[in-house]
Amino acid sequence: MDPVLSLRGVSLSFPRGRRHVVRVLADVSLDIHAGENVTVLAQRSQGKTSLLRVAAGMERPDRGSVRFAGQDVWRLSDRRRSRLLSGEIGLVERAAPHLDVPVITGVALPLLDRHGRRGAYARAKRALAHVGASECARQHWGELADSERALVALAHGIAREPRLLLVDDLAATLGLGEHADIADLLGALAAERGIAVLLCAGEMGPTPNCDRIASLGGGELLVAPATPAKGTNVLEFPGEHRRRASS
Amino acid sequence: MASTVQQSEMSAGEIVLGLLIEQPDSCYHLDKRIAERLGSAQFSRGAASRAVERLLERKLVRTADIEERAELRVVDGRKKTVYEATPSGVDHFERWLRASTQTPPVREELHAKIALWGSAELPRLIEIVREAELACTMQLQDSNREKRVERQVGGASDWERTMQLIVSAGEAMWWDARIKWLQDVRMYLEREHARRQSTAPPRRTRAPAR
Repeated sequence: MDPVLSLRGVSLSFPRGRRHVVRVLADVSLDIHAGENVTVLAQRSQGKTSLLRVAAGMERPDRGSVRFAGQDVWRLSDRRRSRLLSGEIGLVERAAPHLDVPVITGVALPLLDRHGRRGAYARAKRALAHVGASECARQHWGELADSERALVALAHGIAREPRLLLVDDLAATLGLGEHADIADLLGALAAERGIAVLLCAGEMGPTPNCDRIASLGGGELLVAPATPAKGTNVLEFPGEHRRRASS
Repeated sequence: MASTVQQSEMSAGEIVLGLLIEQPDSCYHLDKRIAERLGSAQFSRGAASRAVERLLERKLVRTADIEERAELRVVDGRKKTVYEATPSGVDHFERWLRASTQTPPVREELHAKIALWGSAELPRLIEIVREAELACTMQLQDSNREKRVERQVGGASDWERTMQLIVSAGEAMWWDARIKWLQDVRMYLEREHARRQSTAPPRRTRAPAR
């Protein structure tokens, strides 16, 4: 079966004047299958958001291919590509919403087109309940605590019941227990609903609940292989036993 | 692949002693329990039996004579010796548990290599750092997988779950800091390498951009 998201040799840079370019992504390849939960660890301004925007089909890379369920998203018409983003791909950012409306309305708004008023609200309610933020439904964004905002943002992402969930540094600024809750939620979304999850994080967090981890820095994505050979400890040096034994 | 093992001051002796106080056990099972509880500490297989030897010499543990835990005694058809803590072992462990904890020394191979590298062959140093970075992500991924399996197996009390969360947070944050340091080092060295290439004595061809 095709991976839900497949990036191949993706490069992205932004020009700075006539001579210079800022290299954001250099020859990045990554496959994420249904039900797989992948965390990319990157520091500030190292291309986290760019990677997510490329994965969402919002940013066209200079080179390389972006495939969603086997389809090259840049061979689709603009209309079909934007339908992917409004239906099958959920992008979770923690930015304040543009409209100051109650939380449930904010979550329901993007669904109105496709599901009608009642359908949209029912889905929004379900999504908020799923992340455990039902009691925030009538509040406004400004009244929410950081941890509640993270949950509401996640509800935004899953309300459309996407196949691919792209998450931008959701748990930054959260405490240990709250961070762990978000990690568990993302893990459960992948394991139970079969959603492919790509989390770009500045912090690994206390309980990384993911299947694979990659490191993004200087445009380069280092992806740990999915299944290292059993019983081999890659960090074990031949001399290690002796050193430990004698200590 | 380059070693990035933290040279830990944590002694296998006290851990084994603590586990034997919880429950008498064979070296075979002790190795497994160490891996479950302290995966990232990377004690090698066989660490338990070496620790048990030292503990036996100091009379902190002894072979246990228990019939009811027969399942511990036979593994793959082979008989295993089961050990238990002696009263002085329990005393020793209690003292160790309550003693103040020292700051672990940061003493490891990659630091030394970078400090001693000199200015030649930057690309090889960059490669070593890249390997270490990848090895750390793999290590974090592996320990994370083990923790998940443990959580799914369940059966832990609230207290045990809380302690597991705290230990696992400590480990994850250690790897997190480590990976970020390696990212920084790699990016810095890459920039430095590019700068040297561009200011190198005039050459006909420019080095290809990576």
